[in-house]
Amino acid sequence: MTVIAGEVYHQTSELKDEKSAGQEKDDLNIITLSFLAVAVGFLGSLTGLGGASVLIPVLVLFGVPVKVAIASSIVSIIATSSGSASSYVRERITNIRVAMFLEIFTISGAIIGASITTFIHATYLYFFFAAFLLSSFISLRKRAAGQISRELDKISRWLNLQGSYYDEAEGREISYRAYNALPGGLGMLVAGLAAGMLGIGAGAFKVTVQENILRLPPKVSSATSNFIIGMTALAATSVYLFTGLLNLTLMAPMAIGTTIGALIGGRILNKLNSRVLRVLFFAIIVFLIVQMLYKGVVSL
Amino acid sequence: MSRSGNQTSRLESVISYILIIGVVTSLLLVATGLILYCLQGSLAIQLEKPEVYIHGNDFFTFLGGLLTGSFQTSKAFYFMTLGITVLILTPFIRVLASVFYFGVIRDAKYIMITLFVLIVLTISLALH
Repeated sequence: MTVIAGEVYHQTSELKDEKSAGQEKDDLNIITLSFLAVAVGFLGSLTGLGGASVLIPVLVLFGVPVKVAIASSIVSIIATSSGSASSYVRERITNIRVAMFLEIFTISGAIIGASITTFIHATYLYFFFAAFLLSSFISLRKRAAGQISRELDKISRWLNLQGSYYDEAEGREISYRAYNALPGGLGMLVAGLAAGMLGIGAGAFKVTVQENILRLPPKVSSATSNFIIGMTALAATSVYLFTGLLNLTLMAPMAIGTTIGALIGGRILNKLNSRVLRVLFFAIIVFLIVQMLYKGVVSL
Repeated sequence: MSRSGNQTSRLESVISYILIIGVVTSLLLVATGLILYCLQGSLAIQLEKPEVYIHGNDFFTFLGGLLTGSFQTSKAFYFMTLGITVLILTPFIRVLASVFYFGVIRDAKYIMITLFVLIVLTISLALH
């Protein structure tokens, strides 16, 4: 077991073996990271997986300490999420009341998650991350069969969680209600925990909770989830802020790159058959899982 | 598609503007910092120099130091830090606006909910 303080040393000594400069990273510079972030942001928004869950293992591959990668990535998520959330809010697809209620849970989860990450040994994070990437293969979209109540419960009624939005595809105003507010909130606590711990948006998980537990329409779920991700990322950032993990030379290209990539991806989202991209993306993820597991085993 | 008379749409446009203005301002500042950094002759991603990491004690003192110019760092890192700070402030101001809005329409439940989010974030930013 290497101690936490040895983490940076461990990473750099490994780098020297790969004939890289000790202090500066020749293999990954500002320009290559920017382009990488655009590509990952683009692919992430097309496949719905989010950019950070791919970018973090890539940074680790280039020798960035895993905690620095996680903390710096969560900051760039604020930009990516808020940028695309803005238009959904303007089009009134986002349900702000649902979002504010669920944020109680996601920010609590994110603060706990980020605090755990700052304390635990990096080795655990490699395995948690690999497990998270693996879970993206399980079809989360399957309905949680039968157990979910279809009655409007007291809490959801009290919270006044209904809304309507104009669906362009169907050409009409669609009204909906949110159900099961409390179980949904607990689901969001878990989503927030994962987001804060691993430096990701956990968007797919948030959408699943909103669609299957709160029973919101799919478009409202993804728009509201996008909105919540920014706040969740801020909560995690507040923990990472002065821990000495937020690296400017990483955050700057990542924030700009992933936001641009996600904006381009969002624009062509429905115009593209993303099946080929999806296969490619999942191939990359398999590679990243293996790499995270390898890092984890090596650092044991 | 109009829902005129529904006050929520006003909150929605305000929040939408807060988000887009916050993100654009932030990314422009960050981009300025990045360009200045590249002009210094280095494209390298630094992992070890302490000045590439954001440091401070609590967010609000840090913010004050940043604005009054008592923050000591290179111009490039100053702009990047400023951009990241604007990014952090964007969702924070969004919650502030929501509290204010639910206060104006006197929706007690949502004043409580938004206040909870605001207080937790403020405490978490002020600690350390």
